[in-house]
Amino acid sequence: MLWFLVRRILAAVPILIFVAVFIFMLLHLAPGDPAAVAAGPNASPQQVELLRQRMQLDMPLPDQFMRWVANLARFDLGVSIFSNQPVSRLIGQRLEPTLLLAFTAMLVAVSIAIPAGTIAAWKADSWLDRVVMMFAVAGFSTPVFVTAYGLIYVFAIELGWFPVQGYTPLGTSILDCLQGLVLPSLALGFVFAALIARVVRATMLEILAEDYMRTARAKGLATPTIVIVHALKNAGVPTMTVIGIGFAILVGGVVVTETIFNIPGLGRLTTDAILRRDYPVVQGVILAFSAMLIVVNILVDLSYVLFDPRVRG
Amino acid sequence: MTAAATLVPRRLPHLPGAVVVAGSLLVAYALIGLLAPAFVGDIRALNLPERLMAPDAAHWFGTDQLGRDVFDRTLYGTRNSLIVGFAVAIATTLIGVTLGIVTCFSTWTDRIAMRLMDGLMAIPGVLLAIAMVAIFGSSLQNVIIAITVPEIPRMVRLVRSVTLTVREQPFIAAAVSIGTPLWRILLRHVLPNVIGAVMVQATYTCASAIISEAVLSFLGAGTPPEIPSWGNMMAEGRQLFQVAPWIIAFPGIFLAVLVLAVNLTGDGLRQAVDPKLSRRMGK
Repeated sequence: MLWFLVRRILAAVPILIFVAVFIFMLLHLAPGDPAAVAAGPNASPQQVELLRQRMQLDMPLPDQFMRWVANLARFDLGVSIFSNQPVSRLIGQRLEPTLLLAFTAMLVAVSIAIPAGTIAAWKADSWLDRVVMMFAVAGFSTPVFVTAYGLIYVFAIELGWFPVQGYTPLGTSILDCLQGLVLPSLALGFVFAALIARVVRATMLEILAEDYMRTARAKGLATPTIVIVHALKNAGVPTMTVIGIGFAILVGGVVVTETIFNIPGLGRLTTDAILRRDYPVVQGVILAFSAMLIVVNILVDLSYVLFDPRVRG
Repeated sequence: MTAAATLVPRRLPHLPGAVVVAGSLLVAYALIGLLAPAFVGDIRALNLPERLMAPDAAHWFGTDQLGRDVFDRTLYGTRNSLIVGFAVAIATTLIGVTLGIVTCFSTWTDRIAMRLMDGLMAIPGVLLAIAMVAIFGSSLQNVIIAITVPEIPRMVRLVRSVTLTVREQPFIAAAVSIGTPLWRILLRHVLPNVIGAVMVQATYTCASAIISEAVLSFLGAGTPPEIPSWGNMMAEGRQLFQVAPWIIAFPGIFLAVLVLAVNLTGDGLRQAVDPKLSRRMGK
């Protein structure tokens, strides 16, 4: 078990190194002068040159890279060109809204998808099944921002139940914070729910046809017990797998959702930094997102042990 | 998944109603995309006195903040989405199939390519695409490249997994034993058995690329603003959403329905190509 965890973490290291090299090359081999962009349109050539030296862009590329990696090893992600703040602090400031949004969206998705997928499989080929599946295909096909604007129009503008946009930090008011997160997490959660519901249904269909299901029924167990205790637990592995795969899509959705709802999270930080060519921030944030993706996938692998003892061996 | 199961069926399968509807919708979109330049008015014509008009008989979808007709621009935007969707699907398929098959027959390519794919998959696709468009500049071509790169790993992995099964089939051993050259084995024996699964995946890639293009344009790192794309239109309407929701609503609906149609076509294709797989994948 511990060995498995260590092996997975070690396997993540080369992937993170690849991501680091890839992002570094992409940014530094690109056309365009970040110093000129950072200095602004009215800067004199001398000012641009000064800034280039300060940003250490005048050093040879391999030296720049070695320096960046050496700092990275000490968890120093550099300093933002734009705001002059350490990148790690910028990421730290923006972490709360993004993690909360990702978590609540996941919660919405799972609490819609698992019951819906289970019922659809249990009542396979009924009208209930068709309705659930139709919603799943539609949900998966509707881009986050279309769902988001639909929700804003109905629940924020027409009914006025939730704020149109904005974010209240958790520390300021837990209630306001959660109220502001309802629409963003619903919008983001729907897409994800559709993906999970389809997999839950398909897996449950297979499980319900297994011999041990007949045994459970034969010994007189109530149907809810059979479905929830016996079947659902065995659907855990494929469900966790799709949650892991879907997390990458969720990250993309987070970026869009934060823009629509004006939430000051990591996604906004990234798009702003990319558009401003704030290289240290872009490198740091993409690396942080990749690390998150890898951590989620390791957690998913660990969860297999929970659902299927055979994996342990 | 057996090789036989991924063969393209010889007979036309019975098509469910949803697939027929989706197919008809796709044809309608294609016609709109092809004919839009011929029958819409000037999509760049500014008409400031008539700006932000609600939908009425003269402007079916209303007008935007510059008085441009939302109906005309929405129809015209179909072109952009279709071009990006199909271009990305074709590029991803060509690269993915080549890499996927070659890696199964060459050990060193396999090691390099698969590590490369692992790394690419660890970077969130949308972020990678935004970064690429921002760096290389906003143009239709760069948008297509930026969306294709993050899509490639999924295709490579699928092709690889199917090819690995095909490779172990007796008919490959038979072909090798009678001295068939490798390129001929790949082209005549492996490729036909992979193509079914690839077509299904290509459809999903197309749908996902259409969404990605809209997302990129919406975030301001996509199709150049002078081209009316649904994402651009929605980005422009963002600040005015409370006064003029139609600027966002109509491109949004067109976008969602197109993606739905493409996905349903993919589902139908999957059922036709491989009923067993389609049940397992829940589609």
